[in-house]
Amino acid sequence: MSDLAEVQPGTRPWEPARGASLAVVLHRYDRPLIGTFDQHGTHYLFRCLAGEVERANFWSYVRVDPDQEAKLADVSAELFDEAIDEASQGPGVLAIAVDDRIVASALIDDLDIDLSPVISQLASRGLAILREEEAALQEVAAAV
Amino acid sequence: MVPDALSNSETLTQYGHSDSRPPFRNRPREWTEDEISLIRGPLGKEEAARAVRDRRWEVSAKDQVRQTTAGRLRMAGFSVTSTGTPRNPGHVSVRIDLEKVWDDDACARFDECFGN
Repeated sequence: MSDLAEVQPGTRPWEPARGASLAVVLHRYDRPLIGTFDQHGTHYLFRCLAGEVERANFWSYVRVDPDQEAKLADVSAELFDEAIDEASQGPGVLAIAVDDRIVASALIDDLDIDLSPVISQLASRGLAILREEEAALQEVAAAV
Repeated sequence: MVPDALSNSETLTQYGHSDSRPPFRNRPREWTEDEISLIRGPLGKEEAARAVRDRRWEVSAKDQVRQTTAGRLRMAGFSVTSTGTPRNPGHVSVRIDLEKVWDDDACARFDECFGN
């Protein structure tokens, strides 16, 4: 059992690695925004931090135990955000996604800190990766 | 969570953002979605943003809402069901019949449901 979710580029933010399977959706709007997924028998909480209706978005991942997961599924809407904040502490993973696929991720010692510097770095990395992909596509197109 | 029946007269709100293209979705994203989300009730943009966004989100003039009814969507060929979640008990799913395709015509019919 690992404290940190495995997050792989190219996968969906709510199933962020091959073999991960969506377990519970706690919040959705067009796409799942908050919920849990199973990875090697361990459940992790995924949460969209920003970009809920946009093409690009930021996500956090943290391990949840069965008691926490049951509590999140039962908590009232009024207390939900507080419960999610409480569950989203400690070591985790932060990721950026574009068009529902993970582009880049970073391990975080504690998700309950100011994440803006890490988000900024991830955004830069994500942009660099997308530019590399664009250049590769143009290269292939030119060769055809 | 047991879905509540939605009457045809019930007002539904779609939340959007002016920086998105289009500001209001009129078709599910290809490959990853099979429905469009709405919210029960005639919500203002602040209420709708709170129902969708992380609570740290600061509502601005770019947040937008538009409204229709369950009946108008059903008349246009869509299925409309209450699919509340713990975070948003008012969540509503709009889908198209399995044998139909959410094509450009369906997009136009969906958008027309929000007109006067």
